[in-house]
Amino acid sequence: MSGGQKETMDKFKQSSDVERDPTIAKLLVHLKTMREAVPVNYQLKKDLKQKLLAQMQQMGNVNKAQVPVIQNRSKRTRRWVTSIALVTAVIMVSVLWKTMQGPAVEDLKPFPVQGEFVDADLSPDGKQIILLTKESLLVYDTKGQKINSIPLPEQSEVDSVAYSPLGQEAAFILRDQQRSEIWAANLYGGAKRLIYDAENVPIQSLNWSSDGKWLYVQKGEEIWKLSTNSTQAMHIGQGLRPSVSPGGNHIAIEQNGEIVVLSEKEKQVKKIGKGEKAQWINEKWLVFFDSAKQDLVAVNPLEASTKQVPLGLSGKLHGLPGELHSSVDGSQIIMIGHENKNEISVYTGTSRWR
Amino acid sequence: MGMAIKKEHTAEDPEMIQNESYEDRDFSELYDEYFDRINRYLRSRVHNMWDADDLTTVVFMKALEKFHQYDRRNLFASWIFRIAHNTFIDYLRKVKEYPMEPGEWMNGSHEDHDDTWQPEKNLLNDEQVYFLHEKMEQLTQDQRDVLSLRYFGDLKISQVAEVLGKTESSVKMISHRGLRQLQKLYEMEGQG
Repeated sequence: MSGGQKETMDKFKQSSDVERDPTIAKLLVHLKTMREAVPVNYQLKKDLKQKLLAQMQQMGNVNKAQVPVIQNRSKRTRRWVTSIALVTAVIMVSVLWKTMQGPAVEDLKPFPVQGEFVDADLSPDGKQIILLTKESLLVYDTKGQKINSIPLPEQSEVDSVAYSPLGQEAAFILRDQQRSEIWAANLYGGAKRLIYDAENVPIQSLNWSSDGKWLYVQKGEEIWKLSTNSTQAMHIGQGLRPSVSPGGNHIAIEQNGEIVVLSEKEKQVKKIGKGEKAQWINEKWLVFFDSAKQDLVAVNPLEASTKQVPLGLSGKLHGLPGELHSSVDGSQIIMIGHENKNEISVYTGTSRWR
Repeated sequence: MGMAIKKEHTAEDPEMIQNESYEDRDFSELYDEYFDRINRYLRSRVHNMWDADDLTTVVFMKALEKFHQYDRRNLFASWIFRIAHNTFIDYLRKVKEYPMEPGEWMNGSHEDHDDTWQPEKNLLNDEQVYFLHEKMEQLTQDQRDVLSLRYFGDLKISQVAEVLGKTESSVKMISHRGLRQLQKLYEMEGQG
């Protein structure tokens, strides 16, 4: 009997009469299909392995450090001492690991480019920063080297710039006295296209969906979802400054001074707390400005407790912390500080969002 | 790859060296082999994907912490799944202490985790997995534990018995009744 046949026979012997019943057999095939349909988080697998290897390395170092002291003891005592040392090291690493849990923003420093900027955004890969001035769109790398400059048509105001998640374009808003226009500019060729326009109602606050097919905007005091490829436009509801989650399932908006999260699919609404300028960082973490704390706070809206974690940015910037934009992987961020009503300052930094 | 945290082979324990089922792989190799099964098992039991992933992390952190206690004469599958099952039970207790309020959702998205995500295919599978999860909720706790360990953890009956601290005959009976009941529930919905 071959190895494969032996394994099949072993499984048959292990199986019960129920499982050999043909009516149940279909159910078993279905259960196997369902098992395979449950996806594995390979990113977690990779990340966790690195952490475990680091921990094992530390445990190994602790073992080596102990060897000269215990050389003269009996084997039994040596094992006990080694075990205690290992456990102590693991506990210390676990405590350190637990203190590192939770979101954090680090290494904040001013972006070296100076000017009168209206808005800024970070590219999805975290390698470029786009700055919106009244005259142009300026693209820089994160060290401050200019990559491109795209002049804008004359108008009274500019408002909001947002990188497309696909990385090639950026959307921005031009306004004059009666008309608001949303444009998208190709950051490498400079070609521009008009996405949407509206008369007699101001448009502000741009937020792309993660597939680049939609823009969520504030039109007056209403939230709208606009197609970037057609004339389709959908009214979402009342609110300000929309931010859509990367998965597209949840929209964070401001209503009456509170941050509220809407679920488009389930048609559910959840109040998060008093605040403004909410931004999704990833599918789990939402960041917004808490005026009581004068700081940005992070919250996981899908947890029952919606515990707010302050990011500790108050006092680290010139002015109050404003919007926070992150790269797709969450490791790079830019922070916009509001020094006064008309001026922003830009900071770069790193972050983690566990 | 990775540091081996192994028990020493000594002349005092000749059985360990001679036993054919002795597990001599190091922790990182066992991690590579069992991560998928543990993650899948926890994701099948916990509706919230992030909680399931957090629990997966906890399981392997605990496993590393206790690896020096693992008797390599026993199968690693039973040992790691016992940790996974107990971690899941602890999670259930906490969820019961702080229940979700009606109207709040407890969702997890598969979308940003699977590199091979195909929206249409996953939508269909997601619905089927959700349907199965709903039907499993109508079984007894023991039946859910046994069927989940057997068919999502891909464990043998003897391993399930070790994980749950039951006899093999007891596990077979629970599995028998669980499958029959699940079959009936599917038939009632016209999906049998």
